[in-house]
Amino acid sequence: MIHMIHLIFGALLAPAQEPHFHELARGSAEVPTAPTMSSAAHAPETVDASVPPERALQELIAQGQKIAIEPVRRTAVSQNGRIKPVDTLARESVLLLTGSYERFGLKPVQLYFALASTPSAPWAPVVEVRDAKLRQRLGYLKEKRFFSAAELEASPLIELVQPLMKNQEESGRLSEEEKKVMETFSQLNLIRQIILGENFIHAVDFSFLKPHTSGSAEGHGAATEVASQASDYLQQLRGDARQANLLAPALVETSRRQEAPQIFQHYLGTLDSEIFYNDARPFLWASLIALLAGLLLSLDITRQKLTAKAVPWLYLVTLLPLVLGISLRVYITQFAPVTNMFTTMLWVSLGVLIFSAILYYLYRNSLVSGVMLIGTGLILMLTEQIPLILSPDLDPLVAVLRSNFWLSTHVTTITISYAAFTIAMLLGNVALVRSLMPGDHTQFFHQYAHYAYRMIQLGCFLLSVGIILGGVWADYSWGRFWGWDPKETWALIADMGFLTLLHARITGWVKSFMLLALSPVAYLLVIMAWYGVNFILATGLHSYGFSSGGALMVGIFVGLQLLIFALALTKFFMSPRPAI
Amino acid sequence: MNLTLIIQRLNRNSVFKFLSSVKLAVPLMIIIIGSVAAGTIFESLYNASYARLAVYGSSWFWLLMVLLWLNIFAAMMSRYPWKKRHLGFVITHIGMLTLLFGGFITSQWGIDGSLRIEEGRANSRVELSDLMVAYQWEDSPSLQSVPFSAGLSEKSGGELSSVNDAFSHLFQIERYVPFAQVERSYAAKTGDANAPVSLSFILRSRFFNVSEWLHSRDNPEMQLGPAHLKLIVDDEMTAREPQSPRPSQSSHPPLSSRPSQSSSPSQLSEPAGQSNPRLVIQDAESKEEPKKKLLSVKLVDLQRKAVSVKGVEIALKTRFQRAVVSNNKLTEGPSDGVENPALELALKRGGESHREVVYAKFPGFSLNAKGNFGLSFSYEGADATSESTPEESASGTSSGELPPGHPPMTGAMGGGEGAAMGSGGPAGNTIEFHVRRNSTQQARVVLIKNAQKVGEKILKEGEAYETPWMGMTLFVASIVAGAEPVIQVRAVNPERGRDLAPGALLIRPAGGQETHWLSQGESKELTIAGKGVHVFFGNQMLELPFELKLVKFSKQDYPGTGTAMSYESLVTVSTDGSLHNVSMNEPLKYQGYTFYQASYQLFEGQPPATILSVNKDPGRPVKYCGSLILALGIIIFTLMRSRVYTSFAQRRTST
Repeated sequence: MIHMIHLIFGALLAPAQEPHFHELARGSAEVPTAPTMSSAAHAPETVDASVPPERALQELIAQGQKIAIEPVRRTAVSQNGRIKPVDTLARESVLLLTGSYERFGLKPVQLYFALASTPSAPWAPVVEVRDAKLRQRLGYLKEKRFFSAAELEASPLIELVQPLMKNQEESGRLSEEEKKVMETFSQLNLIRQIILGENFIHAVDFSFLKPHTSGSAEGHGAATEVASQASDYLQQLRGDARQANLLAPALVETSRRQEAPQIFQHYLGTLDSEIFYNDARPFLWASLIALLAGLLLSLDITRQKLTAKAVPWLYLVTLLPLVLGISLRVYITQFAPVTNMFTTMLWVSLGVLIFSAILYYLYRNSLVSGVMLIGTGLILMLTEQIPLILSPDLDPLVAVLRSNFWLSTHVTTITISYAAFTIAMLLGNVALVRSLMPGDHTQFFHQYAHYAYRMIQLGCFLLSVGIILGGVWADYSWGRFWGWDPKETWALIADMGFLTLLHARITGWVKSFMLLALSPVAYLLVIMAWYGVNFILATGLHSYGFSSGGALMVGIFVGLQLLIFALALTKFFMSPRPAI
Repeated sequence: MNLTLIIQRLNRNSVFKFLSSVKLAVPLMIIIIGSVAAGTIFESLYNASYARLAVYGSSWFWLLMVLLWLNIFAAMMSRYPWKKRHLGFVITHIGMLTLLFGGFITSQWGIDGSLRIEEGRANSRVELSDLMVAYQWEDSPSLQSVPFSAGLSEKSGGELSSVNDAFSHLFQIERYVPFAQVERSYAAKTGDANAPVSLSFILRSRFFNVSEWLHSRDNPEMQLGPAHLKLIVDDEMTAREPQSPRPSQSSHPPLSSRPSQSSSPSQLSEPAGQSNPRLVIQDAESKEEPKKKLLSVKLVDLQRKAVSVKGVEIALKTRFQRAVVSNNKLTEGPSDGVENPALELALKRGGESHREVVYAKFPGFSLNAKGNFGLSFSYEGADATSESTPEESASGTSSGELPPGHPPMTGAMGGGEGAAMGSGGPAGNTIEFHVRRNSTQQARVVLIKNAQKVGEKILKEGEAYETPWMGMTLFVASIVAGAEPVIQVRAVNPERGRDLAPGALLIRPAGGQETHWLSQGESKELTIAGKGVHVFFGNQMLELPFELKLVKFSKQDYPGTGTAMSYESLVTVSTDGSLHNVSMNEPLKYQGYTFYQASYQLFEGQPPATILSVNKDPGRPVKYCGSLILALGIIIFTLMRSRVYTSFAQRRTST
């Protein structure tokens, strides 16, 4: 009961944690600003009255354009358990707030600092409320997508959140709809902190990280210095942004001179690599190249013009940005690239490229390579398109995963097996579509079924080894080899699904076409093990990967897959030709 | 060779042919896939133990596993004598058989339990996941137990015979309910003029709705949040029944018998010096418990001038006596509102400022999840009439001399939380129910705040009292004279996303007529043949041959966040005094047992406790062996079918 009363107080008081914006505006009135620019029209004294959203947004954009991106984005900040450049902090914040890395023609850093320095920022509609139903519950039209902090604050959001906080404390479970409410609430909290400048100042000051006391006085001094430099920078931005730009280099330098805890040391060396990684977008490039190369190999006209020597080169140019991107991630995080949905998708793309290259080496079928390159391109495109669901951040791992040896053996083996199954699935889909077209495909099916069989064998081999390694790791760190945990159970189910297919091939129940037709169906088990356990079941010991979202997308994929399967099978059994 | 002949003969046998066929394997695998998939869905809907009962641990699932084993075995043998091309096939399948057999050994003879140790204590009792029914005569130290197999459906009669046969001389289990809701209430028993009285009430406000029982013998007092409730039988000379089980309660005189307090005016206008309300600033980073005090400043001083600690400027913005939150803002409540002393502070360091609210009654509360520049605060002495500090009140409990107006340290919630509650300073909200044995249709309800009567009303059963506190309404639901506890158990269905209700047994002592409910994890004393016996239904316990003592538990977060990076327990083994560190991925192996860092408990006001999972697995070598064989088999399988091998083999045969 005492616990309950605590919760009531906690839930009630949490919203009161931040000052309201009218207080905030009064607060900023104390800031000595130089009323030299057009913004003087909305001098702090008049900020108490709200600013029309269009004008607030215009002012925000105008302010953003004045902020020089270099060098301020190289400032070292700490957030979510690591040190990162402020460029990344701004990207992640802008993504959460607006749903995209770039909005209103501003770079993330510009939008981030414009929010912290424009007096009318609380009235600028920048927060994307992603759930149409929630927009209505907040009292707005469902067409209105972007909200200002002030609008959210005045809306019934807080009342919606209060009971949820209590629920979450008690049962830890929230429905999809409730998660949306909590997401918008966290957006509101984030934008408040950014506008108040707290977000930046707290992140830039490493003395919160409790560094080891043994460190140099110089590093400690830097922490105190950086906090005042950061608030100077923000204050100057509120006045004359061009003057503020001149303060940035010193801020960058001091921020990087701070003393960081031992386990954060290496991040200080990777800041510039991370900015390069942010700019280069290696996976987008890999995706575009893969799609182009795949098209070249898939279309009859271009394929015939290409010599056999061209295929390895096409593989190489696709692999180059992909391997570069993955290597950068490994270099920055110092962990094997298989820690969440985003990285496993990258890893599977890499696997599909490598395994299909081996297939090409063995069977010299450039059309198959073309299909696989297109498949890889599509997977990579997907990873680029939905960052909110897949979380491409480089933040560190939960306690149980902190073992590079097991991560890079067990998890990589399991995920790479998905790549082999993906190839079988793609081959199967080609066959399904082909079977719907007129003509005799017997020879084609025999050939493709052979490739698919090989890939399923490879996949089963890798997955079985991966499951066994997982058992050994589980035995080592949880004390049992096998415990019917959903993640391990579904990996086993996927393995057994494909093993059943292999055994059914032995009995003769499944012949060439059926093997191809059933591969995509068995692949649905892989999707369940890979995506479903983390995003739908969301239970068990492998909880570190749990997330939500994307259910509709996956649902459409599964639906389409089953539809194609059903159509092809209907045609197959209706046709008078002997079964192959 | 003989085996060849046997196999040849077996291969003509239709049963063996069926058992060894791939045509059995394929449907069997599909059925197993479906079953375990259903298991994961049950786990998602309910929990892991439900899934275990429904699928993985059920007898039909065992049957499937046995059938799979036989199928693999027969399939392997039917191809005897093996040819070279069978090498991969045979090794893979031997691996599978070994692995499954290892799993069987583990499930039969393995130990998998958990050991909870509080910091500074030692423990050797491991709780296992299987259930048991046990009994112990009151004059005998030995505990007799019989394993009990849980299920998902009710059991009665013959289904319970394995336990009943063992315990027939003592009691019979009449019914087993897998998910039971236990409802405790009191019912009138005739007789005895001095029988205890019970009263049930409902306390309701915007935030809570609680229904509870008070019983003049069993639980005459309880603590609900900031309110202390007590049942007083007015026509009794002794305020307390002698059987009261809690020593601290019996030493604590009822509030009504205390010397009355000198009238205390509103505390905000109170002259300084008579009370000593102060803000205590502690070092949140200090490792010691309690936290190192950095500064204790009187509020009168703080009101005049801000203080500075560790480079943080601390200013008092507002002082509340009855803090309430209205319209998402913290304000002073109405003068008759609930006492809730609080301080609103402004903290400033460098360019950064925080707002923090410190409650006298909720010492652990903080607005700022990221901490307050390494400081933590507590508001002490908020009660104007008392000079007590947590240390003093704690010592007061043991000697039975509580400062006036202080709530008792024990209540319905148990000592730990009571202590956490009391440490913020005395809270003086008491609701007294006065009843008379000879007229139990009504109760006189007295509301007391800081030993001052603030309201009184006579309530009949079913009547409501709008208290002046936080819009709280009090109902008296029933008053029963001569009340004895009645426990009713209702079978319930598991609910999605909720903790599953525990199971319960209905037992009838041998030769008796009365039945008793015994819920899981509960022990009950019965009288059989004039002798007391304790009966227990719950998890099986394993006594380790040695004790583990938790020296220190430490949880490390990623710097600057609340996300755990690692947690570890420093333990000593009692037999040889050796010191070990158990952490994630770093278990302790000792005398065949392996201890893993599984979980931990950190509750305010209590020493941290670690939960180690304890494991002894005789099947482990078998499973590892099976894993190796299987992996080897798959490699051979893949290599022998590969192009490299076939071309190599072809070249050999052609030369």
